[in-house]
Amino acid sequence: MLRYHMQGFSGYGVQYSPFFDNKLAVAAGSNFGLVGNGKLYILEINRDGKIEERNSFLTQDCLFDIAWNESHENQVLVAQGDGTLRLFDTSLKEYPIAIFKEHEREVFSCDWNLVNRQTFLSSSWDGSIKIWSPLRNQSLMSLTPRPLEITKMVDPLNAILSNKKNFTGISKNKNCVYQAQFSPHDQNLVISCSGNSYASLFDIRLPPSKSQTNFLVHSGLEALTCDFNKYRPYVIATGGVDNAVRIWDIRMLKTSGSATTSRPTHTPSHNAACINEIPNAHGLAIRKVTWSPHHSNILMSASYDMTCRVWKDLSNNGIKETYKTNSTDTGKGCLFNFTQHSEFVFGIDWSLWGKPGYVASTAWDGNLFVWNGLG
Amino acid sequence: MSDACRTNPINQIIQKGHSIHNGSLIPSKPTRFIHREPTAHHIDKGPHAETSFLHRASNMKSVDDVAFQNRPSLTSFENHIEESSSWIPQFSSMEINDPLEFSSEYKNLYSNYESHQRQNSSRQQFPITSSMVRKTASHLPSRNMFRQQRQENRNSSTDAFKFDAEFQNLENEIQEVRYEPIIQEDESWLDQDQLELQKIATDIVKCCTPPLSSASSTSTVSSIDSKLSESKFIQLMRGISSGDVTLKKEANGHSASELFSPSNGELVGNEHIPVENQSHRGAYN
Repeated sequence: MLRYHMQGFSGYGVQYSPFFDNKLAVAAGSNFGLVGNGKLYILEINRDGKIEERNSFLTQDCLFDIAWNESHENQVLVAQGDGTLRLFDTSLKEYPIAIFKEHEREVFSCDWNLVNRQTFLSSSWDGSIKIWSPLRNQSLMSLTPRPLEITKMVDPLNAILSNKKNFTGISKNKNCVYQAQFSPHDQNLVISCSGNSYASLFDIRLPPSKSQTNFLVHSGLEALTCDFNKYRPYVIATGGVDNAVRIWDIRMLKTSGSATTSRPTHTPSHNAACINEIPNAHGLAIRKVTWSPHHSNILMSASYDMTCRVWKDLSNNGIKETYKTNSTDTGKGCLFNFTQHSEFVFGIDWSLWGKPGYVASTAWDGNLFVWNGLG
Repeated sequence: MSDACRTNPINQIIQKGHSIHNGSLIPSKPTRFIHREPTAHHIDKGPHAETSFLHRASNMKSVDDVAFQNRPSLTSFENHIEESSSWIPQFSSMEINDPLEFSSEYKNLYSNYESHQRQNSSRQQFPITSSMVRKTASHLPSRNMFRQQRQENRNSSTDAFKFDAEFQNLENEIQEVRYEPIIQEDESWLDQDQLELQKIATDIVKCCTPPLSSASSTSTVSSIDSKLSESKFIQLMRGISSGDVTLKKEANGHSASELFSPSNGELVGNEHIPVENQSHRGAYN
């Protein structure tokens, strides 16, 4: 296990370089990301197995996510708390090479398109997802999940509490889009998850009225993270405040009617796409899930319970469906439990390089750990 | 000294061995349980398979006798049953009126509650879902809110959950008693953002305070509790909740980028370093 400590900063996001096997980028914020500066760390693992800082960029506000430019080995994109995205060149100092500002609130996630490599996206607390080109300062497209109508339908909390005294508006972050991602198989598919407990699947080729399919993923509690399977194009995983990891087959989603154009209805079809579940995968909410780049049935999760866990998706044996679920397994399919962090774990990433299984994790304790999740 | 005490055990063994050797298992001394009258069990004097195997036909009669002799008297037992059966109806008809006994409705509600509690761990939902305690943050979905939501839904669905709702209210009250932030008297100078942050921090501390029943909880939950108790973030939240730490507003009075202690004016956490909002022009190709 390798360790690097970011003095005075809390880790929010980490990603291995897609070009160099020993290079990592970490997004961090001071004061646990509440107030203050952010910092982008460019780290390298040297031949002695030590992690060293190669470059760093101080930012005005906290950084919440990170994405390497898939078509340029020196460029890193960060999502910032002031509503901007900033593209840094790791060979330069101090300032970014481009600033993208349209979001009205904190930007929580960013992701580079792995297929066309020419676009990236961002998701924000303002409830929108924006698709950008690094060549333009204005976004190419803005996507808005239909959270309000659906939230009102599934969650009567607003109506209940609005009649009570001291109602402060619990649903203020219902519209927050915690994470959005391009499909690694199709440059036009985007998945997102929101505070209204819905995941939204977008096909950006379609007109806005028909471009999205929403489905309830975490029982009315906030959905915090989602990820496409790297080998099975129709499989995604989600994690949320109900401490569960769920695996979905998007082929089974109903694309017409309820979730797109007309008023949503409460039919079992919302959950018909769930093909596997890891209930109580962690002791507290799950902040990040990510599928392995080397195995079609292995994924990793990070949680507010300060642990990272590697799971085997028992519904698939790597070749075909087994029709089993992790919930019926004695150990729930857990392969590894990493407990070295002492604060909430926010960032995890699989190494693309070398022997499969190496991962990096970062947490609010300011530590970056590199460890082997597959023993 | 009685005769029983004078009995030499070696002699008894020898006598038993002699009896066995003589082809009889009848004790040398008749016991009090000997009852020689035939009963229904022994009307049939046909050969018993086990006894015939063990003792051959010549010993059959004596073995049956021993077995029979060592049984307690069935007739005396039946007499006892007849005597005892006379008071059983009387006993079963007795009623104990306990003035402190819970009502049947309460028992039903409590059994529902117990089954519900087994299914749902009280610490399943953790409200800190992001970096939400930022300076403008009022978006923390507090644990109590979730509880209220669940309670309201349950109240509307079935009466069985009324007890659950009441119990949750009591639990909330207990937790509030356990953690009452020390609010400073001069807190009136706090502005809206600072008060909001304080409220959020209080909610976080409450939800991260281990429940009273944590002693009997699982090891996983207790390890989370121990980690939370040592968490620097939770310690900061405690400080903000109690008013020892708050946002340090900038000169314009609108934004804040540092935390400080109002009591002594000292900076808490990292100092904010202003960074110019500029970029390397033309660097991107």
